[in-house]
Amino acid sequence: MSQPLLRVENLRTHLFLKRGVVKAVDGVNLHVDAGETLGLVGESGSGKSMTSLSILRLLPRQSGRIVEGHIWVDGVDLASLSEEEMARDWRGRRVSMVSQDPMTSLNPVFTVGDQVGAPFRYHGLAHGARAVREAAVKVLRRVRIPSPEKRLDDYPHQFSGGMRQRVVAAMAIACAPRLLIADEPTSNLDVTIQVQMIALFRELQRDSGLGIILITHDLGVAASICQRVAVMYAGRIVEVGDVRTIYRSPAHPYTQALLNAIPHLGQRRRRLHAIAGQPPSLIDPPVGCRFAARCSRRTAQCDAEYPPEVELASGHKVACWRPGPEAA
Amino acid sequence: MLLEVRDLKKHFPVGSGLLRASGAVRAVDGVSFSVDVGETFALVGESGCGKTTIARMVLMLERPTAGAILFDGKDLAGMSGAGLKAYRRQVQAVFQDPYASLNPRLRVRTIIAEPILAHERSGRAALRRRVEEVLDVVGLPAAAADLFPHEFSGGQRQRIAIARALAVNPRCIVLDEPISALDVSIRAQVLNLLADIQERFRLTYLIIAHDLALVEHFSTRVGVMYLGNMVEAGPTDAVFDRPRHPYTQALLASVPRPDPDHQPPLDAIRGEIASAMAPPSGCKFHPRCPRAIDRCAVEVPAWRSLGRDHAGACHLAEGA
Amino acid sequence: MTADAGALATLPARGPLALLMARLRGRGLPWLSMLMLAIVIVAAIGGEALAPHDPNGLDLGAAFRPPAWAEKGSWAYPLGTDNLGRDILSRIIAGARVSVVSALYAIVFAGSIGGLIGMISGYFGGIVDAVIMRLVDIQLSIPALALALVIAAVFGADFGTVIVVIIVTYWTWYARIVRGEILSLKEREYVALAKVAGCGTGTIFFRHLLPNIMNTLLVLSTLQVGQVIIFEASLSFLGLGIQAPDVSWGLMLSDARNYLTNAWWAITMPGIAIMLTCLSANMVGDWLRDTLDPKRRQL
Repeated sequence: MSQPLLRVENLRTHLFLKRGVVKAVDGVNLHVDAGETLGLVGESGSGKSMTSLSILRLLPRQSGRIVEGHIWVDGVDLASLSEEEMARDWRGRRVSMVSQDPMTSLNPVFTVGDQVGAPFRYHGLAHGARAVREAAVKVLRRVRIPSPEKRLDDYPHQFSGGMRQRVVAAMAIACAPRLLIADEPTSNLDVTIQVQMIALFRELQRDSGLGIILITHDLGVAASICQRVAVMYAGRIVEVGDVRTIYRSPAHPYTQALLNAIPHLGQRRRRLHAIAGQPPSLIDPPVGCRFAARCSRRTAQCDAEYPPEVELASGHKVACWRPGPEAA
Repeated sequence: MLLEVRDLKKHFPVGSGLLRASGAVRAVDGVSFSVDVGETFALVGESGCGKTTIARMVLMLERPTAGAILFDGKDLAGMSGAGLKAYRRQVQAVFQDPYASLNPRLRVRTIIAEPILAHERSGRAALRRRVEEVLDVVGLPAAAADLFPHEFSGGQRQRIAIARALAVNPRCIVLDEPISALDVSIRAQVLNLLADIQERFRLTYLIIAHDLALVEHFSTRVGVMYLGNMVEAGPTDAVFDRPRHPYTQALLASVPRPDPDHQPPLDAIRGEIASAMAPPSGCKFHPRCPRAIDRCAVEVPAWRSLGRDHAGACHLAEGA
Repeated sequence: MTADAGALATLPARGPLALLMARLRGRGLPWLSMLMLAIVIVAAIGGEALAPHDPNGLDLGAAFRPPAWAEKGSWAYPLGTDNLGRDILSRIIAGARVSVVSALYAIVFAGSIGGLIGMISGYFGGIVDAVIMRLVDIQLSIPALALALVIAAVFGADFGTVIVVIIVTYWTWYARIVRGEILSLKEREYVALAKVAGCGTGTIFFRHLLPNIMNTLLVLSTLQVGQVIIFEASLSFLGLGIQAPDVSWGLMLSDARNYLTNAWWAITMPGIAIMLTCLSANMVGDWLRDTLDPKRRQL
């Protein structure tokens, strides 16, 4: 078996706040192959964004710390690098990010050309104003911005919301990264713009062998882009598998509940199966399964001990004492 | 008919100058619809389509530029004093963000009692009983009344917001994106609660949403809006089963489904929404419409029937 | 719903006051600044009763005594004496009253007048707002000292003039800042919902808007204490404010400037009193701003 592009091993990231230590990521294992998109699905506070910030080493400086675990990319453990090495060779270069809000990702006082050109200048991939400009045009063309030569000297506010998100994507792929982390890249966009971004993501991945981690709370978006999906709950991955398995035959009660808890197009006035209660506190998480309190299959064992991860089929892993199809 | 909106317009002036504005955003540009008692009418569309502005006008938070809103046959524009008070009592609202819609400095008891006290002199005991009653309706314990909003999760806060809206026994509640700020696993709880109280108290809902799956699930009738205009309206079944306007069709086709084998065609729609300050001529959707003909660029399509209670504004859509 | 009830039971019931106290404890208090302000306030209340000598007691034989630690100094006059042999420490203690009283007047009157005008301007907007803001612009373009000269010329120079000038000068700050706050506050969803609930303008003002600008008013007021003290000193220094036999820090500076070369302490000591008081007030103000600002409350 070949080395995956990214392998995260037993990652624990804690936030040291005054009210306590929040165990935001508490033992996460995952891998992403080259040319593959892994969906990281979960609710707010499930640890999906903290996982991605850990990989990029962009945790809140005062409070966030990786307390345990490894993040292997190309045989290098990012968790052990110094901030200087991370900034020089990795962040924005080989590991890159698209965030949710294109407005805050772009500086309103610089032209789009300046900002898209910045990664080339910073990482020394293009020398001289002309070369930087050419490189910027090329990458803007890749994200399908019409007539990029003319738009280089425009400012972000002159672009529409969808086009701005494309510019952000262009900045992220400027240095031809190996791994791209996309944190809710479409959640602020309207559906008719979102579908265009979905097309762009698929294209990027197909053309460049880029590995992508797509972080989203939207099960529909994950289904439309990802090959594999990992479901996070309360700081841990509870189920991971290829996209068809996760949507067709999910084995973890939380995955099943999540799929049943939202209205789907084509389903009319059917009562939704609500998940009672709410996620546990991550300052003092339960010792057993973290979903137990809300789970319909709960037993004494679920409360006593965290379930080990079992592999139900090749690549389909579930952390549950009683995995399996939903009871009818 | 409980609520009727007739040729409603709202233009926001833009530009500087103390007395004269240099242009206007046509946020709502001639919209008509009506909502019957007990019905759930949904206004759906993308950002900038004017759906929230309509909600704000119905709630009398904005004054219409033109057109009329009638509640129980009475025009809102003519209301003042007692008539206005009576209206305020019958129409309440639940907004999107449960963090912004509850004053962080007030206890839940004060928040829920606010609409009651605005309308009647209520004794302490009666007030207390009523607050606890509505808290019970939304599934919160009576002890919640003594806490502050920050002590609750998003879902619980939205329950408090619903309890407050119910406190004065309204006939109609305007729901502006009531679940879109909530976590996925909490949405169903709130949605089911809204369905339950509608049945229990015979409420009429006007819901504003961008999530088509939610609208299909929750509403009985739907109006699809684009750039300040209604493009198609009708019973939810008809609009979702047989969408007739190309915009409705594109919108429905664009929604990613939680099923890897049924994904939207990636060329369902092109381009982006035009500016509401300088909307396209003719049919405002024509620059993005896959079926546009020459006529669409010059002539504004008339509103016409497309079947039983189903209507739309498109040159190409024909009646059933 | 049992899960909801369970989750609620685990929540500690804490009011805003308890939260505020927790927050105040959380950040190191500016003890030194608070101590300094406390001393000034005690001096202002006690006044002459606390002073070791009569602040106006002439003793020409004791004129130009240097501070105690200097050569020829004496502990009978710890900070030395001025040209008329008056004890400088006693005069600083007596002068604190003018400084504190003028600061309080400015805060209470300028704050409430300016705050109310700002609220009205921000909430109602439109033509009301335009007119009020132009008034503010006009007020801000008039030099405060020129205004003081005019008022002093018309009504005579005394403590009342100082207060009037301070209020007229400082209300605009409150009006501007409060207006800005109200502009964003009135767009809050809970304000819209209060209207939907049927609340009147009064309820919205006093229940939803005023409590939310109290922090701003408090911080602004603390930061203005320093400015007002310096302003009062400037007016008195120019002879437009406090007149002898009343004592004020500005007046002390004015009296001492002729003897700058042979009695440096007579002008330095009140100067240090002004500086320390203003510095302390500003530090407490900065600390209050950082502590009360929700955006800085994280971590």
